[in-house]
Amino acid sequence: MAKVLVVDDSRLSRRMTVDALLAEGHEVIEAENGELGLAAFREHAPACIVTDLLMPIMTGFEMIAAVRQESASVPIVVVTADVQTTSRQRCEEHGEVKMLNKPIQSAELTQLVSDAIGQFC
Amino acid sequence: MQLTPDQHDALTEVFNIGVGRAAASLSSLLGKSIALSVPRLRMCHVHEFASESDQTAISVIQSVHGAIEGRAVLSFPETSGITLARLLGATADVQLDAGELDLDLSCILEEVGNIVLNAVMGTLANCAGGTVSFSIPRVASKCAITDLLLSTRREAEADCDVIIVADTEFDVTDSQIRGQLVLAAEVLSLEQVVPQLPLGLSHC
Repeated sequence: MAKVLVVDDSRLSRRMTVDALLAEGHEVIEAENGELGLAAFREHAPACIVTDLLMPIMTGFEMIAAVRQESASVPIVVVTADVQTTSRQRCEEHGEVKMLNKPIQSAELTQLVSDAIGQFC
Repeated sequence: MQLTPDQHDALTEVFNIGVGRAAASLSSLLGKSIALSVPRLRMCHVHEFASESDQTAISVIQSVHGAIEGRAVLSFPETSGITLARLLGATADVQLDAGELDLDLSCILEEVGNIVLNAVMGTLANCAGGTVSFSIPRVASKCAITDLLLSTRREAEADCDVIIVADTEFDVTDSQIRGQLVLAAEVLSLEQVVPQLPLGLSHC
């Protein structure tokens, strides 16, 4: 199993995501906005990042752009309430990104994360 | 701006699709079915808009900017809001007589509002072929929807007195949870968007 960084300002959504990942045996690091997420990425070098988009202080878009400046390959899974196709396109401007809409289905999330980590390692 | 019958139908249908997506999300979150009322769409002066919601509602409000300018509100009677939050894991007793809502309840309802309102407004944006940005959702208690919509209008919008209002009511089956979803959009922002809707329905 792997170290996964979860970035979401919503305690409810973060809890749902973290619970799903812990149940799969992953080690989980949490951050509640993009700025803290970026710091956690630098400190912990996770195998995968699961992030929301709309967050205070630093958005998921901004965090993804900053992460991609430092790592072109770390898998990123976006979990968002934003259903706009333009938001998906905007995420993909920074390289391949997997995307799920909230509310998440645990099995779908964990499969996506496992597949992403498998391709990364 | 006057809506033609076709434009009225298209806008209503887009709202229908968005509400359907929102209801699916809420149903998935709660593990329960959602019953919806027939959505109502009307154009009115902002000060004429009157909601049936009472003054003790718990509401989540989110602003949208870009291709569409407006605000969306998800509102619950206070008991429904508490029941819904407890279904999603809120454990603290809520003292609604206090000035502020319990933090746990607020956080949960903010996210529910985020998911539901994004579903509606994002669908509208997709259908219109445009892009919108959202404010971070905010919970307000003991506030009528009308007052909430008026108090969050930006100064630049204050001269735009006519709004299009779409709203629907919902019931969570087998639960004491009901609520209302209201979308208020500035008419001027819709003048460019509405003509595109019949063409954009396939992109919803």
